[in-house]
Amino acid sequence: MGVYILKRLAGFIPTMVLLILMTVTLLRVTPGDAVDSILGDYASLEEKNILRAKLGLDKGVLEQFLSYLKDLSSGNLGDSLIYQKSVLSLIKERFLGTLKLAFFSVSFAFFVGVGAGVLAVFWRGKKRASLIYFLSLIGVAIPNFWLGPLLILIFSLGLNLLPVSGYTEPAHYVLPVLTMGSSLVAIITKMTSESLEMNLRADYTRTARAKGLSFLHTLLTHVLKNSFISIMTIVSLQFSVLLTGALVTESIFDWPGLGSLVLEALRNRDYPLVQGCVLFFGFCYTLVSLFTDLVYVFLDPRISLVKEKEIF
Amino acid sequence: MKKKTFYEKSRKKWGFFFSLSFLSVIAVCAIFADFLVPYSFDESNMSDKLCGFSRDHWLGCDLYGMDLLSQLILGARSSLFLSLSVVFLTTLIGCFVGSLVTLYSRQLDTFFLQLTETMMALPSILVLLCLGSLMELGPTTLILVLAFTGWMGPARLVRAKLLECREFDYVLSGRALGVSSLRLTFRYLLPNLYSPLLVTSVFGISGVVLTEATLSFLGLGPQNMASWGLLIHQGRSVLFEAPNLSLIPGSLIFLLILSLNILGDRLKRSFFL
Repeated sequence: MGVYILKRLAGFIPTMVLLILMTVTLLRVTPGDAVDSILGDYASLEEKNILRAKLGLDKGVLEQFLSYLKDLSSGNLGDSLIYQKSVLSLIKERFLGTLKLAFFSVSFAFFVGVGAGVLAVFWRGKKRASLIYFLSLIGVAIPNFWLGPLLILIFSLGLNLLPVSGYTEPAHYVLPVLTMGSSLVAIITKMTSESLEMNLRADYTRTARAKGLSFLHTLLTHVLKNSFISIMTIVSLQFSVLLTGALVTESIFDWPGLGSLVLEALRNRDYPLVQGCVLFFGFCYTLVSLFTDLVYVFLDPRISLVKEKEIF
Repeated sequence: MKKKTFYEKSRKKWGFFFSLSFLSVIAVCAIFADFLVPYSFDESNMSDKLCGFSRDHWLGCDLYGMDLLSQLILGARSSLFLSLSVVFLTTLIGCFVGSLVTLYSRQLDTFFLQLTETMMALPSILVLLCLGSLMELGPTTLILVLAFTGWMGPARLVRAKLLECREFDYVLSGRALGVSSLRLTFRYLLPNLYSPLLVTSVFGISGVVLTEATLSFLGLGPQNMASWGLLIHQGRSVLFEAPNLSLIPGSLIFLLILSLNILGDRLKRSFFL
């Protein structure tokens, strides 16, 4: 198990190197001059040279990469071109907003999704179960950039129940969390019911039923526990869904988070800020997948043996 | 095995029927867009700005006085064109790389696994964000980036399936007849992959449709191309005055993804995957 954890940790490094390399070299591979496209056509030569030096474009790729790494190791992600502040402090300011939103969306999706999945299996063959399947089919397909405006039209404009934007009171969270969590709910519901169905065919289920446990009891205590691995996998694989969801949701509801920060930076062509945010997202992503892989081992010790062979 | 209720059976049949008919309508719109559009792409009339449903403009007009129906029909074309090209490219690269790594050394295979794992850690949206801050993304760039960030899934599928199929007896007899490994892979083994690749392609198409629409919605997609996502992006500022501008294209995206998912599920079930 120790070997597995070490190997998994070692796999973390190439991913980060690739990520940094991508963000650094992208400045060079874009057709035309990156400095021109950031500053526009009317900048003077002097301004361009200053920016070129700031972005490290006056050095060679390797040199630029190494100096970026050096800065990174001291926690310096460069300065934003627009805000006149360090990128790291901007990320720090906005991170909490996104984290809160993501946390509530994932927990909402997890509880509702697992609950609905269990109910769908418990009601097998009944109309109610078909309804859950149908809803999950719709939930997967519904784009959040359509759901958000729809929810605003219905709940804010039509029924006047919930505020459109703002981020201080609990009521402000309802629509953004629904928008961001809906597709996750559907994915988790589908995954839970599929994995439960599969585990229901296992021998231990028959044993549990044979010793007189009720169907519901077997489902909740035996089958659900064993299904958690696949549910966990699905949840952890949804990071990119969550990331896109954060971008869209924050832009619809004017939520002060990393997503809206990136979008502002994009609009202003503030490349260092975009670069910093992309690196930060990538870092979070690899961290999450690393964390899930490690949690697996504690949930199911059989995995480390299989995975050790698979990776190398 | 438990018998399915009538409701379940009919739901599946109707869902499939709906999905096929919706997809054919969209396909017809995309192919014959030039003959179907009542107004051309750049035809605008500011006096019709934000007009409601009328005989001249069945679905109303957008902010720039352009006919919504025409935009939608042209949007169907670009949506399908983009997603089909991306999926075609990813499947092609996937088949090529996937069979290459099974053909040659074991080191190549290990490297491939490590590489794909690392590349899958990069969500395509990040690459697009980075690129988007430096340049305007045209349709071609978008296709290339999405293909570049999406080939790993098909490649891993091809590799896994090839390794599995290699154990079949007819491969052994092929080898005994002296068939080369290259020919063995392309003539004997790859045809086994039609059905799983078809299923992943259908889901892939729905994924690309969604990604493109999301990008355009965020204002990062190709600007001079009719796109459903772009229409929602433009309609957002007048959400309260003219909800049809964002709700109609949104529901089309939703229905398209829904039909593709139903079709994919159905294919998956009929191939016993």
